[in-house]
Amino acid sequence: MPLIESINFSSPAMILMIIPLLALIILGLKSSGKTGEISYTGLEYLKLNKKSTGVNKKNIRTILLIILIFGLGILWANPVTYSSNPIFGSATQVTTKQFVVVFDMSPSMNLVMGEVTEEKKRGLTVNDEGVSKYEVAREALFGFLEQFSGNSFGLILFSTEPFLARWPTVETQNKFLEVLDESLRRGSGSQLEAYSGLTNTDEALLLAQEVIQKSASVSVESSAVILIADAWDDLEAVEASIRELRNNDINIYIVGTGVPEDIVEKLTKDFSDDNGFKIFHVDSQAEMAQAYYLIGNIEESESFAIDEKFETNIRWIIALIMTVITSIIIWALEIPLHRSRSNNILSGTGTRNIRGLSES
Amino acid sequence: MAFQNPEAFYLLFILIPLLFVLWKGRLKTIQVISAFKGEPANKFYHIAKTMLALMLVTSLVMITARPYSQLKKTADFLFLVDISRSMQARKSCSQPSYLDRAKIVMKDVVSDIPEARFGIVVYERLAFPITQLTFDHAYLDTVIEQGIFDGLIFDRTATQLGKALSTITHKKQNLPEHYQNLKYIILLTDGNLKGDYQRNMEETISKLAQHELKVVPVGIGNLEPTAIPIKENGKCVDKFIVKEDTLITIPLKSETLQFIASSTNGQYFGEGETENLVSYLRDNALEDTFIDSGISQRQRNDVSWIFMVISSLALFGYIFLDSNLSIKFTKSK
Repeated sequence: MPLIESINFSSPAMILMIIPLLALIILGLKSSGKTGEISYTGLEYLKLNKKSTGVNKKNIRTILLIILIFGLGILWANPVTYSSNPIFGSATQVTTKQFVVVFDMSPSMNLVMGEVTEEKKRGLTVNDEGVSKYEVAREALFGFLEQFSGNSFGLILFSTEPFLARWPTVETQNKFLEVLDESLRRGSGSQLEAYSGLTNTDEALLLAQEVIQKSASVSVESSAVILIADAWDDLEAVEASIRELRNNDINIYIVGTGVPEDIVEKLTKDFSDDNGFKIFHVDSQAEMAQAYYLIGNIEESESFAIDEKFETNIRWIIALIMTVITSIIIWALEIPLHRSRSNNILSGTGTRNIRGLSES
Repeated sequence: MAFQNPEAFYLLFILIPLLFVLWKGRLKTIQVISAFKGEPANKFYHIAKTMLALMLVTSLVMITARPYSQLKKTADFLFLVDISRSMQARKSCSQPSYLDRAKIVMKDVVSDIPEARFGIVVYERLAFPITQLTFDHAYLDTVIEQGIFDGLIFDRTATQLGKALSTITHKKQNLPEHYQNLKYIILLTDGNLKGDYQRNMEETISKLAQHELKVVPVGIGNLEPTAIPIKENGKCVDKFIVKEDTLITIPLKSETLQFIASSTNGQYFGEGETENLVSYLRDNALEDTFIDSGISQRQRNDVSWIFMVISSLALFGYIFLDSNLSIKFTKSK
């Protein structure tokens, strides 16, 4: 694959800035043509090299000046390259995947991972030593954010109602800690604990779809929803929401932290022929990490990988090349194509005389 | 002004041979004019031509060095936006709601202080940050437009401003890497607080002072009581919410907001005073920042255009002097 796939201009209209320069060149040419005026051009060179006439020199000088003008025009138009890998260390990713993470904040997410029993559901929450489903899922999400940094992530928390906690953004270096640093533990007095109530998964999925559709842009090449949940009441409604997402070409991955095996089996069977849906039954930190690893693999697989594009502004590189070219052109204009400037304006006869002299 | 590629300045050594070339060119001119007994060019001609050639090359080197300007002052501001049901008040469905009017204020402030970093926290019973503190103002505009709406959080009728402000102090304490530069909270609300708000806010005000946070309330709403239209299937209809046979109306409670402003050493503004608000924030909040600090990285503005203009003018001058037009110009003078 070539290093640079394409070159474009950020401000193509700015190339019009060269019009006055081109106009000056044309005026200069017309001026000498109309009046028959000529200044002493290239006499030294003519003496040494009689094959080249003053007219040739004049043309070459004009061409060189036009090269300078167009070089400047390219600088004005602000050239950028697109490549599949960052080049020159200052590239920005212009095509992204968009993930919307839909995070269950119901009280059951506060249970110890993998130890959900009916007794514990009735009251026991995570103890100081234990790690809750919420905490395990949060840590795994942080890793996923790092793995897909540069891509766009949104965050929806849901409980009794879904809440759009973060409009999709590529600024994920803070890992949504402004929201997710809070504890879900009982008695913590946190906002998340206060938010924690029932589980309205299907509404959360519909909100995710709405956000993805509203935030669609040319830079977003594919979208996926990652649902982290441990249970839901209305399987039919959730299944309908999943189908709605898939109908809109949005991948969906469910990380089920304690979702009953029969539900996992049913959904897996119902969507068996759909590569854009996957449900993971997760009962431990290792399985959680494995689920995210597999999601990453699926998203990077041939079926769903996007053509990553990086944009690099190369104005400075063109300026570097122009510096060298300009220096060479100035040398050419001053030495081999030298034109001596005098305030004398010769008549048409004088012009012929000089040309005649040089050609004789 | 600073440069991303300062090593490009080594290219300026090219000016030395260039000067030599220009000097040689001048010698050649003198030689030819002498041979043809011509009238020497104006004494400033060669100086001007040399200067223009050097200016052209130097400005190209400057563009290679990638110049950028960095605003020396910046600040972090947090919008605290009331999204409770009362912010849906309006006289009719054809008019913007209080929340819509708050969004207009937010957009104006964001666009008028381009050098600042903004974040948005929404509140009713609960308070949550819905954006990170960011210099990406286009992103903020999108969030203000699309990401703040009625029913964003489900519990809309139990507004707790004190708790929202306490949440911010808590976040400043717990996440210093995110919020350490935050000193001003721009509060957008109609000011409808229940109960003895002065007593209820005492602890919050003390926490705000402890964390050096000032509240700048912007009163959103009408002075006369304004009703809240009902929504049917998500669309506003010109029927208004009635509770126990009484029309629920929302007046702007500016005295509440003035109390919060004075208690936290902030200042109160009406929603029509955006210009004054911006001036206040500029005068009081913008502080010097360190070049290349984390805050200022995203404030870099490419200023290559300055050198683009210089190089274009230099080339224009060089071509002009090189053409017969300059001879004509000299003669006409």
